[in-house]
Amino acid sequence: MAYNGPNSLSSFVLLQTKSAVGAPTSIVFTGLIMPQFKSYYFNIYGFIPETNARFPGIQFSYDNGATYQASSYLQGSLNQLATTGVATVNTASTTNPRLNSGNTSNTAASGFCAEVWLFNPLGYGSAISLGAGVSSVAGNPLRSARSVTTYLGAPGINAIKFYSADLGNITRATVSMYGIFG
Amino acid sequence: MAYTGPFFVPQIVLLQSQTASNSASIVFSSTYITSTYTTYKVIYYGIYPDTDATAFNLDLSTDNGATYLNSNFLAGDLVNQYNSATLANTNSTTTLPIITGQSNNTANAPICGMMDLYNLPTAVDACVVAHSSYFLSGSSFAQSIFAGTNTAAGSINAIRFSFSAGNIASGTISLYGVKQ
Repeated sequence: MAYNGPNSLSSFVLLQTKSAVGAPTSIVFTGLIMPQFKSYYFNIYGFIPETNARFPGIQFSYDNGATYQASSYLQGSLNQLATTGVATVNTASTTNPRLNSGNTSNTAASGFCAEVWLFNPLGYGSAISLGAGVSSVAGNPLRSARSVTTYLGAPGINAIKFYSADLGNITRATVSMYGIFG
Repeated sequence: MAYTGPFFVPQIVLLQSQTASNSASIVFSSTYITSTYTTYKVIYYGIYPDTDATAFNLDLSTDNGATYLNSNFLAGDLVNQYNSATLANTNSTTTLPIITGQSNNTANAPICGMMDLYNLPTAVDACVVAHSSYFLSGSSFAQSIFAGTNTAAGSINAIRFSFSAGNIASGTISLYGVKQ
């Protein structure tokens, strides 16, 4: 057991911030998953998909972003309409892990925002998120969402991408990645 | 409003990280639970029990772990399996069951998650919220949304993580203090 403190420095270290420029297909973070950080925190805001009614999603890579795994996920999302309080549960995905099931609007003034936690990607880990965004369904209600994702493949994930699962580009979004000591 | 620089870095300070290896419990003592912080954050990952289908509990102590509170809790664990439209709630008044029913034999889905603990050293309004992923024994991958409090707690100066039966086979738990 190691004693790691007291430590006057923050244990959350900003590694990189990226914004969607020119409607890219994805925002990727490569070369930043390192052994000294066991967990990671992502702050995503203003996510607007190019195609209406898509979902902000994530996928993992073993080869530092050359390819991304498109199967063997288990992902579920618990959503709640802000206007009614009614909880809805998304159809689960095994190929395109989603941060919400709210069919995100491509015309809303404010995009989907969320915090995403990635635990132990070099071992057996998972990702969880808490977010909210304007839905594309009738009346454009705001939906809050809690989602969880795990990958059933071998350990050793070394890159992550944020994208519009599973169609179209990203019109607008900013994502910041933090490494967490511990 | 004070200018905080080109970007604001949250002052979340790592206090201690512990890794279980067939351990009965993981305890954070009064060395770390102090009046320096009123809010703490806990991050946990890779956690498996050695006994199947047990609850992963958080216990609170006011005497640095000599004893742990076993009454006056109000706790609820909302469970949503990844492919189900059903929400299930487990209640407790004797402990804080962060997870109920973790599998001990599913290699890809240990307990992972994060927790915020508020007002531990201030003797009133201590409460805990957590969001976790895990594999529900005999069932499927799931998420847990947990909230709990103790209506009669004094000043909390130690916390303990353990399973309701058996040991913690593996896993790491890190404790952070949140500067305010």
